[in-house]
Amino acid sequence: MRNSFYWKMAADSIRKNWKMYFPFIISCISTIMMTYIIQALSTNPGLSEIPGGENLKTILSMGYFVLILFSTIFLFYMNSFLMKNRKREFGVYNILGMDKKHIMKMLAFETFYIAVCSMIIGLIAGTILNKVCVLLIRQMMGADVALGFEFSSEAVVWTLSFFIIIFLLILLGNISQIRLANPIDLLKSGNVGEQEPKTKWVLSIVGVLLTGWGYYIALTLQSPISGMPYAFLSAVLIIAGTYLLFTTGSIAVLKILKNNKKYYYQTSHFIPVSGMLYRMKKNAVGLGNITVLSVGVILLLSIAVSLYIVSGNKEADSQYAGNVISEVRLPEDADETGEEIKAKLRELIDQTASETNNTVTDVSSYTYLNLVTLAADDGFEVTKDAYSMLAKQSPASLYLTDQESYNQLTSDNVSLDENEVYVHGTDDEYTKDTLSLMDFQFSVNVMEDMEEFSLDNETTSLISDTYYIIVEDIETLRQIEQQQKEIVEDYAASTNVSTQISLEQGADEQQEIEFGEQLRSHMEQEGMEIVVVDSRTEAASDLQALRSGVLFIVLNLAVLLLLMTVLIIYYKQTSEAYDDKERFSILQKIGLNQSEIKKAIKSQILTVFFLPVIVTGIHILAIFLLMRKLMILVMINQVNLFPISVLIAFLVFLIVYVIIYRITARVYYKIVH
Amino acid sequence: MTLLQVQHVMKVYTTRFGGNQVEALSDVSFSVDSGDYIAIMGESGSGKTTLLNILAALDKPTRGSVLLNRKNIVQIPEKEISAFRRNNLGFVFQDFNLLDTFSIQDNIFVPLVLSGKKHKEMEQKLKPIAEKLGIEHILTKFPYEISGGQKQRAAVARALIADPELVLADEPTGALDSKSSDDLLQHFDYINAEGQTILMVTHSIKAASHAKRVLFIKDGNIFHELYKGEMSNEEMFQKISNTLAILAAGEDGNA
Repeated sequence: MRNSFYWKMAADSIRKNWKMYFPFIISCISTIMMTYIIQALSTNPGLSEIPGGENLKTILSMGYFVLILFSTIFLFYMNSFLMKNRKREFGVYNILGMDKKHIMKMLAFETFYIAVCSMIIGLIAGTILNKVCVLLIRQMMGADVALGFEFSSEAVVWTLSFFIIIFLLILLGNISQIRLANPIDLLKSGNVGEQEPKTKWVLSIVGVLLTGWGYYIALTLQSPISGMPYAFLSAVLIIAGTYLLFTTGSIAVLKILKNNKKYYYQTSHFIPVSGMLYRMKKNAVGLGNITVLSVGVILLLSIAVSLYIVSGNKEADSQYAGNVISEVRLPEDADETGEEIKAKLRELIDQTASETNNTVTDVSSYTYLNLVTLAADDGFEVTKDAYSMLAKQSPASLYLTDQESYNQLTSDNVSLDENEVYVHGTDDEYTKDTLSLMDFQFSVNVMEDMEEFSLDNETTSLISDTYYIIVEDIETLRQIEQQQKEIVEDYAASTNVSTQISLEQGADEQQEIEFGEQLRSHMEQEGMEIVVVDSRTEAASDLQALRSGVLFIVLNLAVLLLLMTVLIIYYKQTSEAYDDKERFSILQKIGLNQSEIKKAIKSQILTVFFLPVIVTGIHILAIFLLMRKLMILVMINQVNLFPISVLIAFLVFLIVYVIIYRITARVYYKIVH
Repeated sequence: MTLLQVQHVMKVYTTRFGGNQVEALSDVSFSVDSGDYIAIMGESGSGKTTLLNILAALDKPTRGSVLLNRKNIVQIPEKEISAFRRNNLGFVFQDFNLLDTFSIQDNIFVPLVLSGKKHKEMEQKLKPIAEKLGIEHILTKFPYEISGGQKQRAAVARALIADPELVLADEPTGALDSKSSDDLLQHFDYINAEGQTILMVTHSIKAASHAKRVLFIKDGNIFHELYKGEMSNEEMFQKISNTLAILAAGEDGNA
C-alpha cells in the first residue's frame, strides 16, 4: 500500500474517534506546555538578575523532573484507555485483510499526527504562557516588569526531545500489544464478561485498619519536620488503605446491600447496585485513583493559595529587627568570652559604615547557645536521640544566653545568683523549681515576659517546644557547650555571637546589600568564623524567591493533577457508558421507560462521582493537622490562615468536579440512549 | 375469546435523508384468540420483525390499530407504555437478552422489580415457573456460566413471571442447537397447554410446526395461513415446507 493511503487512513481514524482522541490530545498539549514553561523559566537569564532568582531557578529545575515523570505516567494511562476502545476496530481491519504490519504503520502515522500537532500547539501556548509567568514572577518578586518576547530555544529542544521519546515509547507499547493479540481477541476485547467479585472480609478490615493507622499517625505526629519518615509512612498507609477500601470494602458494602432483599429488590436500587457490583473490580481502582489524585490536587492547591496569601504580605516576613545581621561562632577555647570579638565587630561595623557612607544607628550583640534536647522529668536531656528522625518524643529547643548579653540586648536589668536561671517557654511555661541539664543543676525563676531573642523564633517555636534560658554568666554558657560537645559529638552546637545592625532610616535596599557584603569581607579578613552575614533585603528576597518558585511549581503540578483527574473521570465514564449501552437497551425492551433509565443512570453516576469526593474530604480532615504543621515552614506566623486556604482549594476543586460531573453525565446519557 | 386484534396495520419507513420510502407492512390483519399458539413465518425483509415490534409496542404503525383485550395499544401514551409492556407482554428474544450483571434469579425478577412487587411475592411466583422449566438448580448462577438452552429457558421464565396476556417470541430457537431447540419447543407446548397465549416469529419450520396456526408473511402482507388441527408435528412440518416452497417460487398457492 502506498504511504499516502496511510496518511489518509490515520487522519480519518483520528477524526472518527475524535471523542476518544480529543482528551488525549488535550493532555498531550497541556503536558508539553507545562514542561516547556518550567524548563524555559529555569533557564531564563532575566530571572538570575533579580534577587533570589537563582534559588527560584534551582527549585524550578527540580520541579521539572517531577513534571516529566508525571507527564509520562499520565500519557501512558490515557493511551491505555484509548487503546482499549480501539482494539475492536483493529480486529475488524485485521479480519478484512489488513496485515498487522499495516495496522502498526497506520498507528505510527496516527501517533505522528498527534505528536506533531500537540508539540506545535503546546509550544506556541507555552511560549505565550511563559511570558505571562515571567511577568507574574517578576511582579511577585518585586522586580521591574519588562515586556519582551521570551523564547528559549534550549527549552524547546529539551521539551521536544523528552516528548519525542515519550511518544515513541507509547507507540512501541501499542505496537507490541497489537503484535501479540490475535484478531478474534481484538474483536472481543472490550466485552469480556466479568465475574461477580467475591467479598474479601479480611482485606476490607485490613483496609480499614491501614487507613485508621495512617490517620492516627497523621493526627498524633508532633513534628512532621523531624518526623518526616512518619509523615511519609502515614501517606503511604492512607493511600494503600484507600485502594484496599475501594477494591474490597466497596464490594463488601454492595454485597451487604444486595443481601438485604427488601432494599435490593426495589426499582431504584436493583439496577445501580447490581451494575456497580458487576464492575467494581475495574471501577474500584479508578475510584481509588480519583481519590488519591483529588487529595493531591487539594493539598497542592491549598499550598498554592497559602503561598499566595503570604506573598501578598511582605511586611510580616521580616524576621530581622536590624537592616543587617551577622553571626559569628566563638572559638573552641572555653576561656574565650566573646568580649574581644564583640569589640572587634564594632570596629569593623564602624569601618564598613564609613566606607559605604552609611550611618549606623544601633548595634546590638548577644551571645547564645542553641541546644536540641529531649524533655526529661527534672529538666532536659542532651542526647543524640533528640536528633533522630524517628524519635518518639518531639525535641525541645533551648536557647541559652548569659545575663550580661540579655541585659545589653533588652536594656533590662536582671541579676542572677550562681546556679540560678530564668526560664521562659514559648508554648508552656516551665513548671518545675529546678532544672537539670547534664551535670548542671539550676534553680528556676520563671520569666513570662522574657524577650524571645532567637532570630527565627516564630518558626522554631511552632515546630518544636522552645525554651529561652538566661544563665548567670558567659562562663556557664561555655561550660554547657563543652559538656554537650562530649555527649552529642558531631551534632554539637556552638556558642555564637549574634549582632543586629540598624542603619539610618532611608538606607535603601542597595545600600543594605552593599553594607552586608562589605562587612562580610572585612570579617573574613579578620579570620572570624562566620555563621551568616545577611541583609534584610536579601533575606526577604530569598524567601520571596523560594515562595514564588514553590508556588509556581505547586500550581503547575496542581493543574496537571486536576487535569489528570478530570480526564480519568471522562474516560472512565465514556468507556463505562459503552459497556452499559446494551444493558440499558435490554432493560428498555423488557419494560423500563426513559425516565426510569435516567433515574438509574443518575443514581449510579452520582455514587461513582461523589464517593471519591467524600473520601477525599475525610482524608483532608485527617491530615489537616499534619499539613498545618508543615505549612509553618512557608507561612510562618500566618499559618492560622491555612484553614482558609484549604477551604478555598476544596471549593475550587469541587466546582471543577461538579462541572465535570454534569458534562460526563450528559455524555454518558447520550451514549447509552 | 379474542385476545389480540391486528387491524389493517401499515408501516412505512422513511430513510434518514428523506426521499425514499420503504413499505415494510402494507395491510396486515389477523386476530389471536386466548390460548392460541401462533407462528409467523416469512423470509428476511418480509416484515416479520416490524410486525413483532409493533405488537410489542416498541414501534408505532403508520396506520391501523392493534387491540389487546380491546385496548388499542397504539394509543397508549409514551409514559405508560413501559408499564403496559411489563404487565401484559412477555418477551423471548433470539439472543436471550439476559443481563450479565444479574444472577439468573434476578434476571427473572426484573419485570417484577420494575413493577414494584414485594420480594416475598416474587419468590412465590418464581418457584412453580422454575420447576416447570427445569431451572431451579441454576437460579444462583450468572448468564455467562450456563448453556444457551438454559439461558433461553431462563428468558422464558422471565417472560412468564408477570403472568402476561401474551408471550412474544422472536426467533426463540435461532441461537440454539437442535437438542436445546427441541427442548425449548417442548416447554412452549406445555406452557401453551396450560393456557398461555404465544405468538412466535420464526424461520424454523420445526419451530413453526409446533404452533396451532402458522401465518406466512410476504412483502408486508399476510400471504397464507395454516391451521394445525389434528395434524401431528411431522405432517405440519411437511405442509409448512410445501407452503414455503410455493412462497419462494412466487406463485399463489392454495394448500
